[in-house]
Amino acid sequence: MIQWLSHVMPNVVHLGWLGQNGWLTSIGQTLYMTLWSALFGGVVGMIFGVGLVIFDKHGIAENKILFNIFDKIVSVFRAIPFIILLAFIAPVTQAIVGTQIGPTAALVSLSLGVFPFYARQVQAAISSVDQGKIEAAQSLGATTSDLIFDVYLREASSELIRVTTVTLISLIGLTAMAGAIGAGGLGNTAIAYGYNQFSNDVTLVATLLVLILVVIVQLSGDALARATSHSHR
Amino acid sequence: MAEPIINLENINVLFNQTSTAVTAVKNVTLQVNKGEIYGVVGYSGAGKSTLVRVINLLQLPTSGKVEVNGDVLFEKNDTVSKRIGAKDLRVKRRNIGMIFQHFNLLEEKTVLRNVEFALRHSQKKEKEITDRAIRLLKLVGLEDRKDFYPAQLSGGQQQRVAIARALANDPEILISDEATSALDPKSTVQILDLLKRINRELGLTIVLITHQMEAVKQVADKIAVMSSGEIIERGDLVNVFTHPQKELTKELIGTKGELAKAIHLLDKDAIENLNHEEWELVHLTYTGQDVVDPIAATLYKKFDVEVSIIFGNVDELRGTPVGTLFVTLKGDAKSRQNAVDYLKQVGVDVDEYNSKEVIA
Ligand SMILES: Nc1ncnc2c1ncn2[C@@H]1O[C@H](COP(=O)(O)OP(=O)(O)OP(=O)(O)O)[C@@H](O)[C@H]1O
Ligand SMILES: [Mg+2]
Repeated sequence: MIQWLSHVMPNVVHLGWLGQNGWLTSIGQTLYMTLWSALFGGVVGMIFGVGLVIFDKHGIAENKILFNIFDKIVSVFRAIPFIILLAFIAPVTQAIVGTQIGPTAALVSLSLGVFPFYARQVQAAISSVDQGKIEAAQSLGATTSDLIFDVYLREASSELIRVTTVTLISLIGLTAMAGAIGAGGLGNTAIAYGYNQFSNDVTLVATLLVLILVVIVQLSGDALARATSHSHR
Repeated sequence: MAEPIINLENINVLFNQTSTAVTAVKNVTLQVNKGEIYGVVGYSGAGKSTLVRVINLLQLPTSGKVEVNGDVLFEKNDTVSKRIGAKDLRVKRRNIGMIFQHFNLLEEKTVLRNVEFALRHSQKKEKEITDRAIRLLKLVGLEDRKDFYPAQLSGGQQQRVAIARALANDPEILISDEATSALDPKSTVQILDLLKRINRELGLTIVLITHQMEAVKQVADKIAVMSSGEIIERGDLVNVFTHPQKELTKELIGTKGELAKAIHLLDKDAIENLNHEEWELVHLTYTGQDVVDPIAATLYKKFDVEVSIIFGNVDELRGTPVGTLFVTLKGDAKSRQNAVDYLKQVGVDVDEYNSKEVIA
């Protein structure tokens, strides 16, 4: 088996499992980048998404100034192409994590790249909660935090899981892009050891692995969203 | 002496649209007394929802005064401008339950959790909260459905959960905004009976908005008729139904339709044959006992007036039968006048339509 593999995919086998450029190492790096930036970008994006809804006109904590600040920040970061953000943010990254290369360095730009996207998704998801539910809760004397957590976030939970899935998948795409400029991970493997060295077998396997990752995320997201929803018989 | 629990004074609500300003509520003053069921009726867009949402300040008025149970929640006019604080408002709102046309339950929470949600700030222990929620579900007959999600219940059942939730904090007032409009007739009757029961048993004051006349007929003590943001007619239910003043009110309660029907039933020949000077069409309305039966004989014997019945029916207003009868009275003017006076004396309401009106 190994022998056959080293015959058809010599470069793939040559990279090995572990070691600096090994397959497990790069899978690990991709997961590391995806999960941590999902956490940072997700928390910030969630806060901005909720803010955009509650501070909006007729929102439960209507505030024109805060809404405009949130809206502008999200729009500006959303407008910067990720690949430019990567370069642009390098000095900031240096200041925060002490280096400009490697997976940890990439976290800063990945988080910044993903949060505005997620913020807009969250905004759309929780805006879809029926205004009637908000009013009913208000008529019961619900506080702002009740409204955010028990009505907006809870009632939109399956929609939120769906947009989180979409965001995670696009984040995997971003990690591949970050890989291209030296952040490690499967993207890096595909470019540095595949494309740049004319090793098409490496590119192919790296691509397949990214694809598998995407499918796993999509399927688990769908299943979770379905399990969370009680709004249909 | 009746004690007002809701007191709205000179309420105006303006909505500023981009192009035009809509005055949804115009200078409305309304008092609702403790323990009353007050119906607010009117066509779609009349401003009913906007008006009642002012009671718990889900809708802030542009001007006017909102007083609930002696506390001023909002007051704004040329000289004052004040408004209850957010925290106090939340406490106050728990004293004003509200139910809606589309139930507005939290769909990701079970029936029990929906009711418990209302009790979150009640300073009770978790166990007490659950006990109270279950007691409320018993009240509405749904304790066996406590672990269901709203989507697994029928509309009528969902509305009953919404009622349990609205009653969770022992409110003194319940506002019902078209609560039966999305339900089938059977569920509608059940919900109305439930509202009547809690009004009686818990002494709850209920403000009932609806465009279904049947609903107010069944339960309301008083009604207000709204049109274009104003209350155009109001008063005791039976009074308004038996003596509607405004055209719109007559239209809403069907008096107009009944008159048209009576005229339609008076066939052409009959009209031709009647001496125009000697007859008139009268609309008799009477409550309580069936006083009409012996009337024909009496009028003939006593006043020499001939009575022919065109049609009649008996309606029920909050349990009181109210009869309506269209008859023609034949006889000379003097006798007819005596007959009508007599009818009024025995407690029958008489609307007279002279022959010219009928033929025109
Ligand atoms: N948030 C709003 N913004 C602008 N206009 C509004 C708003 N809410 C209500 N209106 C307008 O105010 C008027 C009264 O509306 P309202 O909902 O109070 O009527 P309603 O009597 O409850 O009608 P329905 O029987 O259809 O519920 C309508 O012309 C409506 O378009
Ligand atoms: Mg309405």
